[in-house]
Amino acid sequence: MSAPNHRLGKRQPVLVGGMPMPGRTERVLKAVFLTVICGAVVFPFVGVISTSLASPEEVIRAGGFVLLPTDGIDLSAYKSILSGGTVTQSILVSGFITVVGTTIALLLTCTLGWALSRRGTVGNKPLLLLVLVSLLFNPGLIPSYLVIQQFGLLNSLWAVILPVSVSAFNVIVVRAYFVGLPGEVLDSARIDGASEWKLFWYIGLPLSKAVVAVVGLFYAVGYWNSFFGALLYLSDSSKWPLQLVLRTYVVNGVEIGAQDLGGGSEALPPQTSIQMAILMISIVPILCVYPFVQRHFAKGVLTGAVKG
Amino acid sequence: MSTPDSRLVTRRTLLAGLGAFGLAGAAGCSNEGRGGTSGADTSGASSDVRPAYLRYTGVEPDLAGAEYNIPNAFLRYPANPVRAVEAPPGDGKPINVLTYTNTPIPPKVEQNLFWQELNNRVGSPVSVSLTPSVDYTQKFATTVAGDQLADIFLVGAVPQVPQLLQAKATDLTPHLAGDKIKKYPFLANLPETAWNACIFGNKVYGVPISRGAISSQALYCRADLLEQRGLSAQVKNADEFVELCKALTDRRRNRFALAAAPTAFVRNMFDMPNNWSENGTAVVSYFEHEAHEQAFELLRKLWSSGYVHPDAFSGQNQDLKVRFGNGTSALAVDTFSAWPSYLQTTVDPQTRIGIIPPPKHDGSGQGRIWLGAPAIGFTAISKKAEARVETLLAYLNFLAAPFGTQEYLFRKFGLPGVHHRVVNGNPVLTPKGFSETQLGLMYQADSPWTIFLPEKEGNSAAEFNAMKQLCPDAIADPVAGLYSETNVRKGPQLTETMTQLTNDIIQGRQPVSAWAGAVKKWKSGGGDQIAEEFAQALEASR
Amino acid sequence: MTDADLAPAPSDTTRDRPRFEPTAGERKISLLLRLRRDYPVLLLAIPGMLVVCAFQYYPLWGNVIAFQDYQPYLGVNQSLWSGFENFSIVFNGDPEFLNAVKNTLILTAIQTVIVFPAPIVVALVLHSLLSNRIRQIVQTIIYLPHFMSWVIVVAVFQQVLGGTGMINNWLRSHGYDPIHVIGNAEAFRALLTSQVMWKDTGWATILFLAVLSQIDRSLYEASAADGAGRWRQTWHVTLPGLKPIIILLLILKLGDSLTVGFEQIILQQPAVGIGTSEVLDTYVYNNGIIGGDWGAAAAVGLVKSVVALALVLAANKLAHRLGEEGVYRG
Repeated sequence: MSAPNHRLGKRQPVLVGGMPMPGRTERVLKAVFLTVICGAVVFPFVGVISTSLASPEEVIRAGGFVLLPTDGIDLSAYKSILSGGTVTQSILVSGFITVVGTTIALLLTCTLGWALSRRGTVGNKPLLLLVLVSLLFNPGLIPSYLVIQQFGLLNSLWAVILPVSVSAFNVIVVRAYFVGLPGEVLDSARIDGASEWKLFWYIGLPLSKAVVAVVGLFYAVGYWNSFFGALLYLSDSSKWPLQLVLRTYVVNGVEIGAQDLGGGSEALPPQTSIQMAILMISIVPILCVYPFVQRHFAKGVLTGAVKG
Repeated sequence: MSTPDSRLVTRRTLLAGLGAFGLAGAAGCSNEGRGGTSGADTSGASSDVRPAYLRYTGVEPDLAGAEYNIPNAFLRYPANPVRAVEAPPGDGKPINVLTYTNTPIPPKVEQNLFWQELNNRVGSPVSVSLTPSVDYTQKFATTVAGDQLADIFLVGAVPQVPQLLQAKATDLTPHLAGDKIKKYPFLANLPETAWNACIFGNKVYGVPISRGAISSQALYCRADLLEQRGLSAQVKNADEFVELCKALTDRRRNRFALAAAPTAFVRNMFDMPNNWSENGTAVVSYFEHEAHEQAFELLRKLWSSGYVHPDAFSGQNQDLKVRFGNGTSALAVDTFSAWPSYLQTTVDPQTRIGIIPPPKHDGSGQGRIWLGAPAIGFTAISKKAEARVETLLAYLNFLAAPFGTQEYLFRKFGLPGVHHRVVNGNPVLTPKGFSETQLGLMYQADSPWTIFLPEKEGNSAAEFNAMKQLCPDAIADPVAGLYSETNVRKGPQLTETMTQLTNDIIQGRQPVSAWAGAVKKWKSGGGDQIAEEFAQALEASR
Repeated sequence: MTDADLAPAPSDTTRDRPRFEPTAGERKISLLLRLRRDYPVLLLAIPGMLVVCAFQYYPLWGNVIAFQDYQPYLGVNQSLWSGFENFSIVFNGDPEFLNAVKNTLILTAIQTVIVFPAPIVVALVLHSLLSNRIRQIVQTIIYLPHFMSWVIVVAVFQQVLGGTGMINNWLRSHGYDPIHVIGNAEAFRALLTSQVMWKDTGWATILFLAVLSQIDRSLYEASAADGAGRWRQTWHVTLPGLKPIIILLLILKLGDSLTVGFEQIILQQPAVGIGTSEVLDTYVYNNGIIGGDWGAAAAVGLVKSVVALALVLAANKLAHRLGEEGVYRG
């Protein structure tokens, strides 16, 4: 043991998170790599933001994206979207769906994933198969509608929340993570007489913050972006979520023209800027929440827990 | 059929995701053609039941279009609009409507003064279930499957429409046939041909949303740009058209004469029939016209010379207007109804919009454009609401009050001071008015189209005159509004294939000679059967 | 614990942990006893399974319309039965259909070989960063495109690479010939691939990063103590840590191999023609669903599901043969 210890002694100061310090070449390469991929995203995004803020004339003149608005900032695209109050209200609806939906979905997914991770229990394999197969077979549009109707959920927000609250994919991912948890911790707790629920709630979940955060993000984004269920099940448009309301601003049929809008209306901002403003409106809330979720992805969360 | 425009409808519908069905032409218009499937009665001619046409004469248009078969035009909104409907049509009980919309949804009724006032004037609380138009077919199909249809519903583009109506809709014949429609004077003001869409098995099942000439396609031009370069908007033959395109193209400045491939315009130059033509008792598709190869040669030439915008096949509909508005492309094919949106998508105050009439390709005279379909769809009344059918028809009649009436002014512009301002005697929607009035009323029932472009002096007259020049000679589709089951089921996919091929040929990916083979395949794959069904439907409608 | 205890031999890494696997003896316990032992686990499974059954399995009966000329106004009870007629769209041997299948498989192959590993590479690079701040900033940026709809992604690419995109406008106004990317059938697959990568690579890293966080840090310390350099650590600690999730995702992806970007492709089909762009989903759309044929849609769905199930089960089996966990292990 002495020789390695000696080597280790020399290296220890440069260990970071268990890894040796990267060399110079490696750091330069990584910097270039990350700059390139970030640039590939940022550059078009600047276009998106600028276009949403450019004046209608400028957008038409540019025939597409405006990289830097020269006419100054023009909020008409945002104004025309937010003016009627329908969008603001739908943000509340979407917020409700997302928060309630994600909570329920996480609870259902994690409990199911936990149960399925306990291999060797009764019915484990058939249940797992059942979940897997549900991932591969789709009920059609009409049968889904009829089932929602049968459960009396038409025109209720639960129709948008419940059907997608257990995603087989997420269950399988969570289960795989649970299976990978260090067995010794659980075993010792079990020997101490902890109930299954306690095992799950006090040991399993805290050890799996990272994957719970990821799956929660998957669900939240799914709920936030969903519109198709709302389209089919909610006929009262005051219950519509954000994405469905925004859809009526972007995807319009061929016939739209000033006459459709009642004739002689004050000119609307061009579609491109509306489209980009819509994108911004739907991304900003996610951008606000993301950093809180992201904390849990930080590496090393688990290490502390296991050792502690 | 395979015009660039209908192509876009299909594309957009796809954007609806979850790939369901095409909405092309929203409820491909109809008439019972093929009897039998579930005993729909085909005996007798639909002229027996066709509602009478009684033109509304209460408001005098500035430019009268009736004799040219085009919409009336107004230069100003009439100063003292007449009150056209005396008593509120409603019965106090709620009226539920299922339809689509092309505009943002309105605020809910509690926060919507327009909606409240509408309920007042109707005399019944109106509740509207709106769906973005691209998603409507799916919404309609699921609603039908769940037997949840509203009192009044717009009929979606689904198969077996006659049978569906027989099962789910009220037969309106006793209320609307012949002179009975006089009880609903504004429904009687809808043109006769528009009713083709609603007559099945000699029964009237709905109220059409009429369009006609206004949805004909023509070649828009930036008259101001042409003038600047001393170019004439009157082209006498195909070569002159190519010359014009050449003169309007400047690659170094990223100028391309045509915003998209002018397929419809070129076909007009070759006198192709409007989708279908009559040949004795048979009907023949324009796909079989002999001039396709020549037309393709011309289109290929325009494309390969770079006169067509390079993103013509990869863009979205709105790009046409933007390219046109910012001067990138001085020419664009679109419907007359798009004029106001072209007007709105301008940056240069000098912009003037004109129309270039198609010449015959060989210079032997004037080409003929294709006349737009008489109706874009129709609404029916649920069988469950049969007891209230008179109230519901009165409501639709109220919604069809024509331009110049108080009802029209309210329907489109809301209340003065709240929803619109009056500028030079013309109503102009305020942002509040714009957001509150979007109840999809024009997709429940509507008056005939009116040309009214107060935004810019001279445009009402310009559009009216362009239509006056082109539409009286326009080629009508003999089977427009008639129903063919095979056409509903296989028509979209067959047309899709031909449209794809058209794109491929124009862009040089397929030889011109591929067309003939595709037409053969089209015929055997269902085209012949569609033709036969249309021929029968045509026979029956006489 | 000493470092030496934890130092993993290259062959047996983090995966060797005790599991709740039944021993041969346990299997012989009667069902009743096992139920009594396991009911707390089953209780936890019930709420989730209820949702799966109510909203996934219960409506599956609707797939009987695959064998009907289904009309919504008639419902399942009154619609006419049509046997296997709806399946002809898949089994008629139309050369265009075969071409669509070929295109689908080529695209799936490209996506598996190029698109799938991309987020793993990015996740590894991010994982190796020392600065938490930089890692979080980069992560926040690269996941953004995931939230763009395909319509916008396609528009963004057109703005840059299109016939009148930024690049070509510049080229043309400086007297050069424009480059033909969008609308060029030969470049179509490359275009699709770069769009997919641009949109979803960042998003896909999230899952891998979460799993990377599960790797016990002491394993790195131990291997460093053993003198492992950074590359060797990646090879012997990081990748083995990722292997189960990679295999799991690959298996699940296999179930999707007949499905490639419907919306993305159909948006761009007119520009490149169906020759290279027609895939299974667009073929089915263009040849049946577009005409309102619910039966055909259900039939194709069924065929795809059965194929997917077979592929997934086979791949899972293969994974077991190779000593991996896969999706599940019986």
